[in-house]
Amino acid sequence: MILPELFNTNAPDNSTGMFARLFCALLAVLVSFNFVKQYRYFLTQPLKLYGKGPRLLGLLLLPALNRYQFLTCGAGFILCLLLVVLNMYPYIAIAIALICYFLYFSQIISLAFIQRKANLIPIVLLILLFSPSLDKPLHFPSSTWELVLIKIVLIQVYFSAAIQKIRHSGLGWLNGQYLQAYLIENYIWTDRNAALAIASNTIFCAILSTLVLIFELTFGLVLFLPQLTFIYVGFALLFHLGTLITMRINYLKYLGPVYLVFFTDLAFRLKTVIGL
Amino acid sequence: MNICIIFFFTICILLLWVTIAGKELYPFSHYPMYSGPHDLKNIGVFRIAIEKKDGNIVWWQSEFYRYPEYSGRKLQQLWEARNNNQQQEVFLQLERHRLLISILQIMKKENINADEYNAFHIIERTINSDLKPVNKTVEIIPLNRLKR
Repeated sequence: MILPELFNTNAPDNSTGMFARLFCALLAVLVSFNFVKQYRYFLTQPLKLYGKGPRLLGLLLLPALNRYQFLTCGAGFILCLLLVVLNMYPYIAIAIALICYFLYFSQIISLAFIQRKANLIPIVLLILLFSPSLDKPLHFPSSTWELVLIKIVLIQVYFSAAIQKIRHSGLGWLNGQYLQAYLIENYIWTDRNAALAIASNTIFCAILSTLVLIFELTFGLVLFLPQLTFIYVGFALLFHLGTLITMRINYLKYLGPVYLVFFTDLAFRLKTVIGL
Repeated sequence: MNICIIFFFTICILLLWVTIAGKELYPFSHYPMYSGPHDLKNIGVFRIAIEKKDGNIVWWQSEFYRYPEYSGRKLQQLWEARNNNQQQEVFLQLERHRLLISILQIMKKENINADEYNAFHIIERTINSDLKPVNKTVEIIPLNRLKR
C-alpha cells in the first residue's frame, strides 16, 4: 500500500462509519452486560489494595471517583456509544465517551478482564474522533486511512508481545519450556486441568510456542495480503480462547469489538441482503 | 487532510516507540506479559486458605480471582523480604497485617462471613517432578488476631 494513496483514495461506501457503529454497539452491549460486575468490583475498593490507577500517557494521574461519579461515568460512556450508533452528534458523543472511558475504567483497571485488555478502546475512539467520515451516511464514499490505522493498532498488540518475548527470552522461547512453566504456575494457582494437560506434553508446548510467536510476528501481513485476514483472525480467536481456558486470560471481551474492523465489508453485504 | 496525516503518523510513532523502548504510556502498551524466561524448578506460589470453625480448610476464592493471586504474591514478597532482612521485621509484619485486613474487608464485601472461619493458612505451593502440586503450610494466622 502506497502512503499518499492511503490519504487520497476513498472507499465506495462509508466503511469507517459502519465500523464506528458496529464497534460502539458491541462495546455498549459488553459494558452493559458487565456493568454490575464492574460496579461490584469497584465497591471492593481495588485502589486501596493496588494503589493509584494509571497515569494518562504516563503524565496525568486520573482521579479516584466515588460510587456516584463512577456510575455516572459508566452510564455516560454507554449513552455516548449509543449516540454514535444512532449517528446523533457522533463527534461530541465520542469526545465525551473518551473522557468517561478514562475516568470509569481507570478505577477498575486491575480487574482481570480489563487491565491492558481494554487499552485499544480509547485509541480506537480517538481515531474515530479524527475521522472525517464519522457523521456521513453509510452509502457515502469515505476515506480509508482510519481503518488501516485501527488495524495497525491491533497488529501492534501482537507484534509488541512477540518483540518482548524475543527481547526477554530470545529463541529460548521456542523450546516450549517457558510456556510449560507458565501453564504449570497457572495450574497451581487455579487447579485447572486444561493447563496441566497441555503442560504435560513438552513437544506440544514447543509447537504452540513457535506457532504463537510466528502468528504474533506476522499478523501484520493482513495489511498487505487481505486474503490472509480470516486465517489470522481465526487463529487469533483460537489463541484467545486457549489462553482463556488454560490461563483465564480473557482478551476476547474488550478486544473483540476492535476485530470488527475486518468485518465491515461483510456488514455491508449483509445490509444489502437484508435490504436496509 | 494534513491533520489526519499528522495524527496517523503520531499514533504510529507512539506505537513504535512503546514497542521498541518497552515502555508503558497508558493506554499505549508494550504487552510484556508472559514474555520472560520461566523455569519449572523455580515455580512456587503462596496461596491463601481459610480454616473453617469445623477444622476444614478451603482455598480463599474470590469472584475477582486476581485478588487471591495478588495477595499471595504480596505475602510471598513479604515472606522473602523478612527472611533476607531481619532488621525490618516490625515493618514487614505491619505490612502483612495490613494486607490480611484488606483481604478480610474484601471477603466481607463479597458477603463471606469471617465469623465462620478460624484462621488464615498461608500455603506455599510448588510442583514435583511428576507435575503434582505440593502444599506446605508456611504460617497459620488466627483471624481473631486480625480483628482485634
